[in-house]
Amino acid sequence: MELQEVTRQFSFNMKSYELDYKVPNGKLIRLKANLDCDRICSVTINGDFFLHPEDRILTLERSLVGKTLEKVTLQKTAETALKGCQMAGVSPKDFVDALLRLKETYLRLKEA
Amino acid sequence: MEFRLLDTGTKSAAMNMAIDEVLMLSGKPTLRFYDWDPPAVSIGYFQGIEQEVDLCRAKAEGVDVVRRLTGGGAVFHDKELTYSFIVPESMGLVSRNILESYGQICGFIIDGLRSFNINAEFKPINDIIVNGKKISGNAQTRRDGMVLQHGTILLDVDVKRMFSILKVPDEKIRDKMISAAEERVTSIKRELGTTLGADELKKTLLDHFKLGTTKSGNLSKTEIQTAEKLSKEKYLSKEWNFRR
Repeated sequence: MELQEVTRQFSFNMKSYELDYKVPNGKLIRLKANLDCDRICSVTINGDFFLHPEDRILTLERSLVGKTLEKVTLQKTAETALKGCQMAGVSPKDFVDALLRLKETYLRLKEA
Repeated sequence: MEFRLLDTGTKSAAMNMAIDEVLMLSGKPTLRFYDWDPPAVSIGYFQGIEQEVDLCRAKAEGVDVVRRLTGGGAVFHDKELTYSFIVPESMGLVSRNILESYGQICGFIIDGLRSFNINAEFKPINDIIVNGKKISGNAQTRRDGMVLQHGTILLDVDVKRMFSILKVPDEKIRDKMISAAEERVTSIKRELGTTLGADELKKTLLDHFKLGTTKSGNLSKTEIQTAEKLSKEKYLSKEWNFRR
């Protein structure tokens, strides 16, 4: 498993992306991700939101590794990783929306 | 259950955060007031330190930088009163629902500010505003059935200095952001047109926190030792502060 993740992270096609997403009436999500096409090699989810227990953000970040930026996949991953968490200023849907914006950025840059 | 009242005076950023964590782990209901020396920036649990803080500038100006154990945004701690409110969920004093509990705890502060004829109101999620301008930011975490909420009440504010240390998303709009922040942030001094001492504010807030039985005290020797260890091993460590 670890070997697979390392392989993904060092893909030749990997590119780095950063994106800030302000949740409507909520907090700021700041994504830093390495993508291999639309597949997540690694992602850091920063921001000024509240999530309890706090270390579950790591669960989400780790769960996203290897996933493609597809709505259904991301929804399932976020909901599973954050199950039982209390949040303020964000929701699992907001993390998904931010990641989908990242996909838009990837597609735009790909076409450019 | 008796509430413990603590005034721990001025401490370094790392020690202040360590004391809050020790108090939360103690399981005892506590209201603590404190101050920062030197001035400091605290960043939220989920924030990237290099994304939020001009570390070179902070170092040059002797400003401490520390990661909090609570979420929320970066705060420049200077000319303010800081409090922490620690309470077991089982006491039923605050809601188990986080959004509701922000409103409840901020409500005590709002009542205190209103007693000075400051038109304070709660702005969800975690702010207190006066005529649309922020005067207090608050952040909360929960662990093992304990609630910790800490927050700041601005006695005065120097927005220009604040933004010389906090990073702005786009340097090209720094001046515009400072002007905008001047419009969005206020302080007790600005609202009253005169300086209000921290001691007077503390006294007033104490009257408005609905704590029931209270007892003033000091940190125990063990608590100080534990906090010093935590300060050194966690809140001063690169591992903690640069983890994101």
